[in-house]
Amino acid sequence: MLFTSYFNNLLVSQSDVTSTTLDDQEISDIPDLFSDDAVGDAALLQLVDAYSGAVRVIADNPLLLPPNNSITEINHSIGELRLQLETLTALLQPQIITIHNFHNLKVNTAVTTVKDKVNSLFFDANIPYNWKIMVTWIDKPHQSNTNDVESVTVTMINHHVKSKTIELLNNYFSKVYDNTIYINNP
Amino acid sequence: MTSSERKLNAKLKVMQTELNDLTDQINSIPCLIIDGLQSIPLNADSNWKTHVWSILNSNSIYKSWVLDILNPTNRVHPNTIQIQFINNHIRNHAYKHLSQYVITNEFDAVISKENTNTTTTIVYD
Repeated sequence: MLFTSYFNNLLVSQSDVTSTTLDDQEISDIPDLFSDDAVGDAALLQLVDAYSGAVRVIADNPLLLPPNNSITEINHSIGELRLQLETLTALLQPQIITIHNFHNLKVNTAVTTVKDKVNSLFFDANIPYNWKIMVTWIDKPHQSNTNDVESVTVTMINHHVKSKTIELLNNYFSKVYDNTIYINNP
Repeated sequence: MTSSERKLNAKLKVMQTELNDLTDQINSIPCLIIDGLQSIPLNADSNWKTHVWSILNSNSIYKSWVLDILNPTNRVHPNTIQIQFINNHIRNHAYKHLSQYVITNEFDAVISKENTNTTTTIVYD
């Protein structure tokens, strides 16, 4: 956890600094996170963890911060860091799309389960099966069989895959179903 | 603001810049560019896209790893094409295999990495 130690050092060094600005050497000591090899998902998750830890340490321990007006500015920076972390975390999560009016879907082959029906849809829309992680739906009392399921939620492996799937499904629904089946994302 | 406060704030801002850069990088689609596609032999009846799929297939790069294949020059027989991958790991894996393939067979082609910014609005669930 490179950044945890980096940030811990930062906190410890607060009390004994005498310079008025951050010198070039200190800035250059910050590791280069953005070299291509460092940007794997595992590395990113580790980085997000480290940042989250660092922000949490400051936010949960206000005594670590200087007790005067400048705390406002520092809190502002922490707030912005938190927003960035939320964005990053969201981008790294599996992504969900919801298909509405799913019961209108006509499939060529005889299918017995909702998952098979989704697979058939993906096949017809030329979307790889293994882009999705999971298929879920809500069973309602009046539903007598899988053909009555009104909406289905499909979890996709990542944001890019979700965007491409939405594009392909929108094209397919528009062409084949005149948008009587639709997805919830713009 | 004291010197220590300034220092702390400056470092927070550095972290913020890094996070911005990282977010931009994650937002972009990892791609490979094949420059010199025509130097790689193809079946006479293949169009450019079939040609690229054939190259990917012969390098064990699965169809589901690819988001899209684009022809940025819009030529009927493009010499430069862009392959978009579902994530960075797979793009790097494909880069390794395709580079080796080009070198081993002495094709007059260059494989390079590129990140393309997404134009769609990101919706968070």
